[in-house]
Amino acid sequence: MRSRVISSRFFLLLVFFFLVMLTACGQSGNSQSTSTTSTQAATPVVTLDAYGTPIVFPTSAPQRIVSLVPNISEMLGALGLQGRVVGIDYYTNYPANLTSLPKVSDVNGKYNVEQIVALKPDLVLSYGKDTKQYDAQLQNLGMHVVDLPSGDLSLTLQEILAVGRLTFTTQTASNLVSQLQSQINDVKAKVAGTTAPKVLIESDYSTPGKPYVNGGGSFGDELIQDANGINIFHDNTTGGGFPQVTDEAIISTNPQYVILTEDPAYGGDVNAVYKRSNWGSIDALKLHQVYRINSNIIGRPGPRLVQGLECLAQIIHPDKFPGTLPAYCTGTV
Amino acid sequence: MKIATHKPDLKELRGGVRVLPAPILLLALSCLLLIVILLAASFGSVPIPLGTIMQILMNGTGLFHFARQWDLTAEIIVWQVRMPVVIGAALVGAALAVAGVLFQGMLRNPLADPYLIGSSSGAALGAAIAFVLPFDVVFGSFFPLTPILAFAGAMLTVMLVYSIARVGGQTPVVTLLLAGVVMNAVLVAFQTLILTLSPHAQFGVQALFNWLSGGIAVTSWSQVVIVGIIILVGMLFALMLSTVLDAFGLGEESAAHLGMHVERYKLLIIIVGSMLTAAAVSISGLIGFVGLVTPHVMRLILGPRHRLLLPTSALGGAIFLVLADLLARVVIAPAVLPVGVFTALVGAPFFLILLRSNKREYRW
Repeated sequence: MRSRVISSRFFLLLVFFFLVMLTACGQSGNSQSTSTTSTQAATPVVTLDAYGTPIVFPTSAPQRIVSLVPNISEMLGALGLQGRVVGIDYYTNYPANLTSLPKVSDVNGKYNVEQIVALKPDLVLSYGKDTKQYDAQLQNLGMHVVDLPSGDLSLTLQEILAVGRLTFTTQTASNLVSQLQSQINDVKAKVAGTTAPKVLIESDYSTPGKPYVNGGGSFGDELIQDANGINIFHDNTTGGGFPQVTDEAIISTNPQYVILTEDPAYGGDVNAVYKRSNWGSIDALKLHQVYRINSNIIGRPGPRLVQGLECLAQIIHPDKFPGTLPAYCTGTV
Repeated sequence: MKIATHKPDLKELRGGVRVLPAPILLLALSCLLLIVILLAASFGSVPIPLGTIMQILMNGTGLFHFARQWDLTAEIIVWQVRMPVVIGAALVGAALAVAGVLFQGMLRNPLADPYLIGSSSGAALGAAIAFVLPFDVVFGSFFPLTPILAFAGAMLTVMLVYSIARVGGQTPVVTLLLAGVVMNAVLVAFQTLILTLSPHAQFGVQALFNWLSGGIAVTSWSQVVIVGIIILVGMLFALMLSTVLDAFGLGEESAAHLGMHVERYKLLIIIVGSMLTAAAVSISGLIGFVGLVTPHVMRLILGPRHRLLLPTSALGGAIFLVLADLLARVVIAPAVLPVGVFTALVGAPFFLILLRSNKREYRW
């Protein structure tokens, strides 16, 4: 019987291809985390965009700004630029005075390029390569697109300054950032010296027994550290900061605080947690320390992260923060 | 010899469209395609009057010079945003329909579609890899990664399936189909594995879902031109293979007895068909039904001779997909439905009506 010359070569090609794929997957996790810290350490001010190219700052104040991501909309709202924003994306829901503007994307994350062109913007802002499929196309159509890099809390504050510089509102931005920084320092000072409890921040429990949680690299992880707590999944950096873990891992690490972040309509019900099978042995349930925080204030890279930090610190160190939990901690917007 | 001297009698002349000479038929279909393209370019989320669009398009051909009475953004929207999508849809529809004709002719199976021997899962795997790779195309660069990997994935998979099915210098059709099915399953498993292990899981899954649902994903003319060249070359080769396909219809043994190199032409048909499918899928994701329905519709209307079937299927597929893309954009504006959903919803009832209303028994 003749040997199959063509098939064995293709078989080798397939094996080689498979090995290349696995190596690429393995290495991609490392490369993602190193890029952001180098941007942060190099310059105190954000000058490179998400692709590593220098940001071109406009020469005059932009009057028609389109925001493609909800966290940039929050920054624009916090800088008082409501009058100059002409388009937002589907998922922008804060501040309220921006929500009535025309939406340029739909629920599936598809952006309507025609509508963006028709709005005639002089500045289009995006973040963290969320719209990487559209950035080049919009740029080629003649628009000024700036895609800011993603990073941790201190980089987010720097980016508020960058947005201020892009929109010619530098004074407002630096006032806002110094206020936010002093709030952060205040929280850190108050929780200094306390014992750090073990905390779990959960993102999704749609698959019973295999929840998605905030792991290493997510904002929830950073806020837990700043509020002097221990994230039980701090070492798990898979899934881009939101790994899927098993119930067993949660039960064996036994957190003292469980914090849900889902919308109440989609599983964010604190009472339902007490009914979960096998969770009864967890300290957090025994001590009735299960809470829910609005996911937008501990997940969106914007000015409200500081509110999220304050809510989290108040939950896990109630003795240092007297008073009731503010309403915005458990909101849904 | 009854068959050789068979002349069409009056009853058969009432077959209508079949009696039209081929050039007129092709011309009519081409005019219909142009009208449909104009219609598709006039609908979008931004209302632009039809007259303005016609003037913009005619200005663009360079033969006319209308004075500009419209906003510059309207011109940008029509030429840079809408026309690449519409022309891309026409090319993808033509490519899928011709690939469908090729595979149906070679496999002699009415259920054959361009994705049967592995190109769909290969392209989906390529796209999944593109979505999770950390190195992205540089901002503003010429070649986006996803279409290239999808094309490569589809071609490599089909070649692998062919080489698996080849036993002792021959490739039996049944073995080819089974190898295709197995390959589909294996590659879908790889795709799930990659998405599970990748650190960009959240965005990758959403992006892949959007890509798999099907939709013309072109962002500039350069992509349309490159894919268009590949598709036109492929369709040219397919047209040259029309007599070979007719011979295949007799059965492989009969074709071999007529002196045709069956295995060689089988490989050629697979290469051309998968090249067309891969080029189409690289810019459109997985749009089903076009490659399956269009050849059948054309065969029911015009008969099975491939010399006429291939060009009319190309034009018919182009018209079908441009219309489906138009409806997908317009029906629940401003949200956009996936085109694949629309081709199935629109194509299936149409095909059923044609099949049921035709008094003649469906001949293969």
